[in-house]
Amino acid sequence: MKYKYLGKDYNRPDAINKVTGQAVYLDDVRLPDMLHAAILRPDYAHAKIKRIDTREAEKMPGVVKVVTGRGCTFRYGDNIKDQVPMAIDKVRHIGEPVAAVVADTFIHANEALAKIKVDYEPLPVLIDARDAMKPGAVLVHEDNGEYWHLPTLKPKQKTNIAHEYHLLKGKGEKGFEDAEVVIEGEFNYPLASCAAIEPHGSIVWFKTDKTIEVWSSSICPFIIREDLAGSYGLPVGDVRVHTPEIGGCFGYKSDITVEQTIAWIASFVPGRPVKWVASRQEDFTSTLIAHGIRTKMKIGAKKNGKLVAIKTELLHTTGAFADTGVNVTIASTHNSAGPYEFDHCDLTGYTVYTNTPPVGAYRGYGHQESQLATERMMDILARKLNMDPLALRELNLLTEGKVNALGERMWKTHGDITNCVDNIKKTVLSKPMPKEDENYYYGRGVATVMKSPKGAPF
Amino acid sequence: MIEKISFTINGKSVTVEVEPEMLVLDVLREVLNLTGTKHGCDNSTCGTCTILVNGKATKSCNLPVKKIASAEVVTVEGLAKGTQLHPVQKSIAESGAIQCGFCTPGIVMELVGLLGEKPDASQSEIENALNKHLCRCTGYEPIRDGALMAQKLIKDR
Amino acid sequence: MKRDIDGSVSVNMGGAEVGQGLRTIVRQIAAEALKIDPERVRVYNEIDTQFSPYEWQTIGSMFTTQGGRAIVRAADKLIAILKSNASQVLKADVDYLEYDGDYVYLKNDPDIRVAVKDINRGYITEDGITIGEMAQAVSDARLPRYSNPDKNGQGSMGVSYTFGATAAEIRIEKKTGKIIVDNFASTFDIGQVINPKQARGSVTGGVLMAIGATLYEKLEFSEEGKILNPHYFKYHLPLFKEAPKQSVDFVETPDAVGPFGARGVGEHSVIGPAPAILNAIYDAIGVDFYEIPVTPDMVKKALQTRQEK
Repeated sequence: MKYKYLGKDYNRPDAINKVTGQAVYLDDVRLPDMLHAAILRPDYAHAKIKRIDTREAEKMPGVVKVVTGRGCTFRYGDNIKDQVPMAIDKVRHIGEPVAAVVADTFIHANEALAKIKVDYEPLPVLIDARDAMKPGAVLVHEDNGEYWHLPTLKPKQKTNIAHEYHLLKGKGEKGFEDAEVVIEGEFNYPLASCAAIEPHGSIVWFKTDKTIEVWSSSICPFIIREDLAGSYGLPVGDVRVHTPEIGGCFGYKSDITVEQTIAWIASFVPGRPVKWVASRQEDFTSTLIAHGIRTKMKIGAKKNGKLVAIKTELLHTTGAFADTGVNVTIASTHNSAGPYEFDHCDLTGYTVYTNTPPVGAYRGYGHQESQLATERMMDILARKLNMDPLALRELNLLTEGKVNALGERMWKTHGDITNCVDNIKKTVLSKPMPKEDENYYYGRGVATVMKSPKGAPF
Repeated sequence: MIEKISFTINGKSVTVEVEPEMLVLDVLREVLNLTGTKHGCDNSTCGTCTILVNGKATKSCNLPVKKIASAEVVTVEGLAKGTQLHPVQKSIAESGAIQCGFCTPGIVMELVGLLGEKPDASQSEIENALNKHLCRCTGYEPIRDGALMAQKLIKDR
Repeated sequence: MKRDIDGSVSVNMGGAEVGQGLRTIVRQIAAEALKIDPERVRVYNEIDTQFSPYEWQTIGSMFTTQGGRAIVRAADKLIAILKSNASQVLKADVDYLEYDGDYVYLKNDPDIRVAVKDINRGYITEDGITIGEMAQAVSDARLPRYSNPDKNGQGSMGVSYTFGATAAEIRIEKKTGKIIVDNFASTFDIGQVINPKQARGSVTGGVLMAIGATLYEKLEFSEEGKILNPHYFKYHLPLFKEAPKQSVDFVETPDAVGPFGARGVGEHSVIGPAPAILNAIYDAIGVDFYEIPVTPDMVKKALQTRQEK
């Protein structure tokens, strides 16, 4: 179908604003009477807080208020209400907010931060999901299982497992009885960061008229609005959230991240807006990080290459809070079957609490983490079957009529992966390539991929 | 010790009263309210703070303001004349080089500096200049295309 | 979606622009649906929960599909209002009328018509009385059939799929173990391509992010849980000179849900690079890697082990 205005390179309407420096990003927002916050991070990744002494900090020049988590009685979260705006009785990761200074300038706030004294009782630190799953491992959340959570989630009390997700298609593991060749492998996609060039930042204003106004480098203003309204007992319409120009998101600005913390701080200085922008270090340690998925995979096939069964066990080092990571675990697990039809699937994913910063969305949302395993296994299987790696894939791709791990039947309108593969064959693989010369080894590799969105729960 | 430091900014003389060690980036953004220059990192690696000092592309995040006394400073706000864009701005805006736009002002200033000094800069010199800037959005290709377009526009003028 | 007095259109949505080019495609889809030039469509610059329509999170590569569909549905409603206003002016039932962007006219006699400009805010009759409705419309869209997992963990949880195939060509420097990605090819079936330059830009950016994950990026933790590299450079984002030459192609099988058959592609580009590059490493030196990032030291060590064998 030919369309008049589609398939054309119209220029983006915000290009001139961005190229003249006139586009307003969060840190460019200035409000009258604005205060600045600096946030204290813990000395330990896992520790009980015994005492916080803020007296010296309070006397520093320009300081309006020093805030701690004491007195906070609510938790928040859209999937699991396990998050707190500021550490209350213990810290669970190295980037967690412990205390904050509100001052007239950022420099004054930072100088006063150094004067806050905290006594900690260190606890054992869990970095890897495998250690957090061992029996007897210290609990990151002693109350795991008692937090409000969506009814579809299954936390395991007295463990660090925030959710265990199982998918069964066909005969599950029994399907391997029909396989003629079986291979296994274990793959790791480590913890990383979206690292957008614009760091996180937020301005929260508890106004004198008892409404709350927020500016944030965030792409979920309506979630922030509902969350803050809920936490502070206001009608939703009394919370107003602005999204200015955003300097890159890639996922870690798509959940409520720093806004609850800044709101907690701002609630102590009602009447004045409080601004906080993450330092680059804080953007890494104190917002949301990414991946941290270890995939164990077993694939069974017939000798002619027809895939029969897949078993995946996926461990997600989700970090100190699981609210933002649990759906990534689920997506990564059911999409570990990749763009292929398996008759039998036994897929398991564990969302595991650890003492690393919480994991959130990262562009790809669980697909690249487990499909690293899938696409490597296909090459390894092809080698074992003495088949061309693309030919093995082509035999099993989710084309029209095939059924994926979720039990969804593929429609023609989902797209033509075979056509994509043919194009790669034509444009890349058909061209000759050297194998080796004096200075280099040369190589070529392929991967076929698929992704589906995560739908809104409402 | 607060000092008076004078320089020209985008063609206008200005005097600020600040600590002489205050970073130029902070003077621009917080004292002069010129927020077009961005703050993207804390170890001078991202390039979003790039401005022109006496015509040369310079990072402002590790430059104390005392070092620009009497200098001619140009920021991204000083490029367009009314609604007429500088050729570098026009090319970057039209080549697909902009997505989130946060790295854009720094890259624009880098290219204005390079092509201002050397309109005949080689592709390799242009690529070395671009290699000093982090971009997370575009994969860099369209930025190089925009830079070459800008060079052509400047030379054809 | 509002039609202004000069016939131009303002569109307001809750979807967030983060660089992906959402504002551009809102303009194009609205233009196509309303049959007017995109230059006459103004797109919102800021989201304000006081004024913007509700949006969940702008994620999942869904905006083109869902947001685009909402635009088409709002445009349909707006056109219906214009036809309803016009039916009073042209004295004909709505189903006799056609709309072409600037006029509403009688299907079988296009010269019998009224300009959209004259019916945007209703129609002012000869004696100064205005009749009809303002040309403003609200609509929304969600992914159809989206469900929770059932007792087997299955369910309609994908709904919309984008498929693709990718290939990496690399070279490994014998002396240092450094991996250089020379070429990367991506082909995705994204249905009707709305803006080829932007779609390509999305893919080239995503591929480089994933190359970052494959070769450079990892948060290093001490045993005590401290992050050892929370700064750029120590946490290495790929630079201009580390970017491969990229070829990007699109197949256009129309989507069932998306506007005019369009489908999303914002995230899909990040999935292929890691396994494609690791598969290419095996092709080059016969070594299997099972984790990323694959650093020059890891490659050198593997080459030495291979030599010893």
